[in-house]
Amino acid sequence: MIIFTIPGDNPDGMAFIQDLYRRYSRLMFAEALRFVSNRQDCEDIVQDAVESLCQKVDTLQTLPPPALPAYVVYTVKHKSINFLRHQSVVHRHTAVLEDGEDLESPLPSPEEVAELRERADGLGKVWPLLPEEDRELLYRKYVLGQDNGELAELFHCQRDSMRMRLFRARRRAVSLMKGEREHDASRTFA
Amino acid sequence: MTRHEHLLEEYEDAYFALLMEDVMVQEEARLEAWNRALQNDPAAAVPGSLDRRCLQTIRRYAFLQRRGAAFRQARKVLQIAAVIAAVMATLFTSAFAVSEEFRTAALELVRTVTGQYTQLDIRRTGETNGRWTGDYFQRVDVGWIPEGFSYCGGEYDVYAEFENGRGQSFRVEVYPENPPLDFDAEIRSYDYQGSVFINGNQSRCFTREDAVVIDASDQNNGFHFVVRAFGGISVDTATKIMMNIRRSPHAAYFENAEILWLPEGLAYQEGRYDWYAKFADGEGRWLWVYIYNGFGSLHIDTVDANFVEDVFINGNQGLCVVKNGYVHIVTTDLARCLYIDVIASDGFSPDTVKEVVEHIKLLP
Repeated sequence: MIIFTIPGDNPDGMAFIQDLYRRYSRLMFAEALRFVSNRQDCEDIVQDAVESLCQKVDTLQTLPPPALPAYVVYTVKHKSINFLRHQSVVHRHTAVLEDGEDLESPLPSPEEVAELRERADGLGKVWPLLPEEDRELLYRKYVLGQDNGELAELFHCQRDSMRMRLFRARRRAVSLMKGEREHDASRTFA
Repeated sequence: MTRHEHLLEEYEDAYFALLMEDVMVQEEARLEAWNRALQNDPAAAVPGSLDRRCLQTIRRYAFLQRRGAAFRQARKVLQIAAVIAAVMATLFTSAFAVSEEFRTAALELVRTVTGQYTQLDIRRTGETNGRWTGDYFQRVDVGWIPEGFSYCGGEYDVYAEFENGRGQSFRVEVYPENPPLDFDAEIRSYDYQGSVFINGNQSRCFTREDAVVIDASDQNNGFHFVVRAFGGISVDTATKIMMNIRRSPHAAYFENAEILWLPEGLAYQEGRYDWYAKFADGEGRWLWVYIYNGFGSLHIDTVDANFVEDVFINGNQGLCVVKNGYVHIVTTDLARCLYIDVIASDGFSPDTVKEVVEHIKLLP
């Protein structure tokens, strides 16, 4: 038998993934079940998600530990959505920047910023009120550190469209933090 | 984008990055609470087949990553190896044709061609629908499967069933230490055929109509194996299946620790999973590794020792004792409340044993 002794590029990485899977396997399966009722399909989705995690092991090891369960759940969620896409069930719309749209941010003044920093849990309180897609966009951008290119690929839109979607997500978050509720039924959030 | 817009975007990014820190902690708490609820819900259990597939995916990905890195450096070696492997494949083909025993446990040449190199692997596999026989149990290999049989189901690390599509099937079960509680009651309805030693393990054979049951106790490695064969499979065939069930050479010795280095020539002899592992070479030298729970006291014989020294290895305090030629090093992992205990025979220097201890990696 020919045996090749091979040094590993990241010998701890796969042990890390294995531990991650053992810790969150039920969570991954439950997340897949939210989208797909067939358990066999859920198994395929979770296995695809594990393969994705293997490919991203270097990134995962640099993330702060509290971000790991969310990363795992979002990975399964997107695998589930992609699965449904192929089943011709989910349809996405891309938002295009319209001419003349005001890019000025409704961000607070420096004085208001100081006040908001003192109440740093302000976003946490309104977080559940944000649309699910906004939450995922903001989480991926500012916690998982994914850039606009990665997000555009993930959400199947153009890079410029992703910038606009993030802008709108931030605007809605700040509006909620300032006590305003925004109901925009005229827009389709894919 | 104008400069103002660019600065505004940078400001927004920094602002939200600050706000999202607390959201990250909040979301972690929510998901961990959900995960805990799922852990306590029997209905939320993940199918055993999924566990096996995912762990297999992880192992194969790690294996492919390691091989890819090495073969990028070893391209010329592979070119020579390709010629050798082609010759060997021809020889294997000849052996396959003449030997039934060889055929049923044949070596398989696997060839992967990429744009840069051809990757060769010689693997051992039975007729298991292409799956490696080591994939049914975490630490045990089913080393031989009769011709015509293929895996048809099971529960990972508990049992594996195989069938040949002609009404014959067999099942391999692996238990820690002892057989299942109802085994003796079940086996009373069988005819006892006698006991033999298989691979040095006490085993018993029972038959009933067209069924055969063989159980064997591998006390050295802390396993109890059961082979159940149905549909007229012979006692000899069932015995041969049992003869080829053994602890995998790739199996871990401890649940939460890995031994990353051992002196050359040492091979595993025996042990108890997650307790101790004993290694020896052909020259009479041996080295034993124990990992104990730290809730009790550990007595180290230092009376009339030739050498006693405080050590500090991997951040753990301990003691190194040399007495009568033996080297004994014990360190204490206070964070995990463990004793790491390595003792080696005459022939190993304290530095060598220290190096072994340095390479015992405790997993989180």
